[in-house]
Amino acid sequence: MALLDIRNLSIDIITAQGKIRVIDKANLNIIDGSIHGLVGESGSGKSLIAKAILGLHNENWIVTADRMFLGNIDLSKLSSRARRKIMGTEIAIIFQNPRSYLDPSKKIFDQIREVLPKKSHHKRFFSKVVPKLRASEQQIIKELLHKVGVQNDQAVVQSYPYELSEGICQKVMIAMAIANNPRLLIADEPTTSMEAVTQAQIFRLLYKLNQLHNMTILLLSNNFGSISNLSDYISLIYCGQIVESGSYKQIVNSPMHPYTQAMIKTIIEFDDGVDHKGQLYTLPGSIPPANQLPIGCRLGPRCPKAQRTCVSNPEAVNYKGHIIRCHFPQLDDKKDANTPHNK
Amino acid sequence: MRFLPLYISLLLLTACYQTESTLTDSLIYCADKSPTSLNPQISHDIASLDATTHQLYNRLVKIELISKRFVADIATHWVINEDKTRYTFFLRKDINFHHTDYFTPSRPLNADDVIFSFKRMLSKKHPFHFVNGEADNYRYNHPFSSLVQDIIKIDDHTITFLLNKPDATLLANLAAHYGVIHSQEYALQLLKTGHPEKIDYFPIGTGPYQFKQKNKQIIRYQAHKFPWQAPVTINNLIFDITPNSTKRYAKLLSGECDIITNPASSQIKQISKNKSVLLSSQPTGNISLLSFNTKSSPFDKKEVRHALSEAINLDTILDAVFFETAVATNNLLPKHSWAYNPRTKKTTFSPQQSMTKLKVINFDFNKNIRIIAPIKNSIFNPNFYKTAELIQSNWADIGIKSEIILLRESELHNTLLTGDYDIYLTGSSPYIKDPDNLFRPLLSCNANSFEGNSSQWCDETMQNLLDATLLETNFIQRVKNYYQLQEMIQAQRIYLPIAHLLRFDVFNKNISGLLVDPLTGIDFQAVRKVLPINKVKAH
Amino acid sequence: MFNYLLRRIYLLSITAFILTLLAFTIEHWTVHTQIDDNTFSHYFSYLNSIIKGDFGVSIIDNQPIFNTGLVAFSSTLELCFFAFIIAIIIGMPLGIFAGLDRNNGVDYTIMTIALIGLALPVFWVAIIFTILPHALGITLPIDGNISPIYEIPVVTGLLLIDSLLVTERYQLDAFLNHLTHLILPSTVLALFLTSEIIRLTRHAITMVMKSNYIKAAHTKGLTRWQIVYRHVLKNALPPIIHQIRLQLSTIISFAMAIEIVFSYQGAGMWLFASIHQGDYLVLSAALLIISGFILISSIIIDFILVLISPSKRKSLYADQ
Repeated sequence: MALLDIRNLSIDIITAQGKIRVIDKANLNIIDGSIHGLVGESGSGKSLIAKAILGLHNENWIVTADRMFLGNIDLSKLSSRARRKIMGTEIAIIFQNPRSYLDPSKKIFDQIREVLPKKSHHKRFFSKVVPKLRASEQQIIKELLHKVGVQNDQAVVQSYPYELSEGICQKVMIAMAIANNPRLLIADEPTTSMEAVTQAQIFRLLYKLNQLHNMTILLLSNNFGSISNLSDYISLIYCGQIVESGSYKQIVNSPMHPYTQAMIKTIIEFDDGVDHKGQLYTLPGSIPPANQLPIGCRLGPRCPKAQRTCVSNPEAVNYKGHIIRCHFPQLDDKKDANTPHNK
Repeated sequence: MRFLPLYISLLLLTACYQTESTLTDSLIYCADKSPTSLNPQISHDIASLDATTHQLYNRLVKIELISKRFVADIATHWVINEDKTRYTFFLRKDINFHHTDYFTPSRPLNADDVIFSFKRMLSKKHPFHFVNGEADNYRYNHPFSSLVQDIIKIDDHTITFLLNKPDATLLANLAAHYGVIHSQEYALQLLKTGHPEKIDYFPIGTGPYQFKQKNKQIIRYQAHKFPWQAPVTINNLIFDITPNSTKRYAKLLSGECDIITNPASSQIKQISKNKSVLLSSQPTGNISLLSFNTKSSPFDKKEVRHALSEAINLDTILDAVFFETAVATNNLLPKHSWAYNPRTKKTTFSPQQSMTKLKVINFDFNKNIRIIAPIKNSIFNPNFYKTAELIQSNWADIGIKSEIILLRESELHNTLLTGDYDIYLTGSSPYIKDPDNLFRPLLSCNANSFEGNSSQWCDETMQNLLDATLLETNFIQRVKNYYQLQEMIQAQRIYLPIAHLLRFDVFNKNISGLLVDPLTGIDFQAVRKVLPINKVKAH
Repeated sequence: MFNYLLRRIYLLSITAFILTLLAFTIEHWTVHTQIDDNTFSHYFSYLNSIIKGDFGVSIIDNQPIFNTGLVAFSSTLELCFFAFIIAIIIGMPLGIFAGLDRNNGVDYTIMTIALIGLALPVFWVAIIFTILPHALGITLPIDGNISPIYEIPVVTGLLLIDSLLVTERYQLDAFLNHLTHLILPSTVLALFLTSEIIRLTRHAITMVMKSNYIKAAHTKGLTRWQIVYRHVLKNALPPIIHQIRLQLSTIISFAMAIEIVFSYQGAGMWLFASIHQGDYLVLSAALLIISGFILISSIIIDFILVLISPSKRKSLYADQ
């Protein structure tokens, strides 16, 4: 069951130099109850897709899509009021650098209380005054924090964001995100600025949430290695184009796109010997800046397999759920090039 | 946003704001200067007179405003002997002094107080003679010291003035502002405590108001608790000193002043058009004039003086400097004086004739004429510098060079005494209505240039005429003498009168009974405040 | 917290020391109150007398200068306080609207009004305001801080409180009268203050709206007004207060200029009248009173900042 179904999402940004197509016909299909990883380098447009899903974009963005459905809700046709309703309750999002996303002038207690499921007006008023009702709130928050793995909730709840470490802040953010049991949790590079131990903790937490509470997670990351163990499905994005997408096994065992292959090669495996002073593998060149995007397949200039046909936009081809956009994919013998399987 | 109504409701407080006009037992009078002291015997400026003469004190006799006759004040009646050298006054028996925080009288007024008050000015042996004053000041003792030889007490309520020579001006002097009666008991009390100077700053008198407090710009008076005259309706009288004339007028309009004095002359036209206030103008004896230094050549020739006078356009000065708030005049005496000679020749503005006249007498056109004037504008002239400039340009039109020198008071004093000037812009303010009081300082040989005779005029015929008229008892003869004097002045053109000044007071429509005597100051005794008809007392 | 206070006081004591040097120079050069030739010993005896609170006696009315100065300055503070309240009530909402709708029609209108308020010289506006209410038909008093009819004994120096203490005699009339006398001068001062506050609020709100936690608040599903009310306001306040603390001396000097125009008996009028009449002893006393007040209020504002903005509490421990 597809929870989030996005077909041909395109985002144009109007700049002084004209209209730039930053996201070019992206397709995203998230299965209910899975962890979907969206991997791409910095600047490839992952956050843009997340913002487009939530509707947080600026006025000078033009967002077009054939389909943008969350379950039964059509996200592109929502009024701002309806969109506000689904945010926080159906979709939640957590960010990079969590401390800056918490209000520095409020205690954690007040901030979490803000996102708790809304009570009726008089109950909310009474909860400030009557201690018994306030205690129930405290209980809920305590359980929530325990759920995300914060043990000393008493201390955390009474502190300000600047007093907490990044790891705990991220856990608090996750707590706030899951307070309303959303269907979809978007995690926008949640661990990019943290050290390895905390990263592991956060990923474990996300995994637990997914397994125990059946929460769908869309995990955006720039580090293929860290999410590859976690995700059920992976999509790779380069320069605004989703180049390959499929299940974990499909991608890792049989990568078809040159970009994917390069990505996998960059994962350093210390089991095999690494040559002393050997070159680490990268694709030549760097991501082109937004005003100099190549025509057609945007990997063209850097791709080792690029040829003249690459100036035209490749079509998406679906091999049993393994979707690829490339003129020259590396096909296995098992796959039949002549039977594309359309969903 | 939701506090905006709060601010608007704050503005609505203005409806609650009762302007002071609606409180009927308080009166606020805004003057322009602070009084120099609270004793008109030593302070002669109009601000002190306003503050004291009719409020704090009474005199032996006073001048009734309408009929201009001498009527009884403290003295019930008086008797003059045949040769006019003894005046005997009979005093009222029921006059109480003020009861204040600093003094409680034990007895009503009697002859001792009268003698004490006058002897202070006359006798150098008097313990208070040198207190708070320049004892040699011309104005301090001159009226009396040459006039009165002695004052004798007949009994507790009768006194006699012995004069040096028969003189008709005694009553006028007694009714003047310096004829006020102080309390001897209070003075003795002050001598005992060692603070005699307080007599002029914490005064005790018999008038309808008693002094309460003076701090910075506010003087407070209270109604006399045991008045011997009819009780006043205003219990609290407050003097608010506001030096800025525009601000005074604005305060009158906003209700913070009930009466103001001396509005800016440029605003008088507007004030007269304003329907909500009343403008009262009184002619005063103050005259603004230009004097020629007759001791300095070429101004010793009367043709020169005449010619130069005809070259000045007085109408422009009246318009530009006084804004038509002064009365054009060609006579030193004001029109309302009984000695005013209606047949004096008018000076006309004829610059061409004046230039020919000057050429005929070989006037030295290269001579630079020095015009001096005080730096500080005074009641004689709201703008000395502008007047001098206009005169300068009038004379420049006929080819006369002149320079304007503005001097501070000390330098002015020196320059006048040394005689180092040609033209002096000044004025004269007589303080009793007797014409002698105007002419003597201007023309007498005994008066030096600082005291008033800035023309340095000394002429024996004129001096004799002045002295003879002073002693003359026949009224008709006096009038004739003064007419002659005025014609002589016109012929010689010793002074060029510029304008007679008016005293202006503005007050709200709900004030009635205000009396203003330009010589002795403002009188609040009969003032009544009426509540405006359409304002309802809200609280 | 106590250490923080001590550190601030220590820093400010250096400024206070320099100020006493200045005041001493003024006093030494205008009025030689001692014939002592040795300037150092003169200075120490001057310091001594200041600490006791004895600034000398005024020539004009023979009252101790310190007491007169304090009473006069309290009137100025009343005026500033009133103007402050008006300015905050009007200026903050306008600034918030301008900041939220940055570079839109509402923003431009409000900023134009604010710019006019900043550009007009304060004494000119004060003079216009002495005549304007009458021209518009409103009767408001333009002179002094209370009508001379009411005699109020000086108890605390703050006329707002003193006029409430004489209720047996005057009921509430004296208090209301004083309030109406306050309206015009504080409106003039509020004109300038409002412009300042609009400018500062707009800038602070724009900065806050760009920050990350506001984006997070959007994703929590809060309405715009809820975000503004709960998150933006409290975070926008510290830079505003900080800027106002820097502007405090300007506000006081404007208040003194306004007092002179309206003859409001505050520190400005007191200084003006004293200098006019040649009493120069008040200069050093006024210098110390006014700058002492500004120093003390700096400390208090720092305190308030630490209280309301938790992120500033970091500076308690680290030196920022």
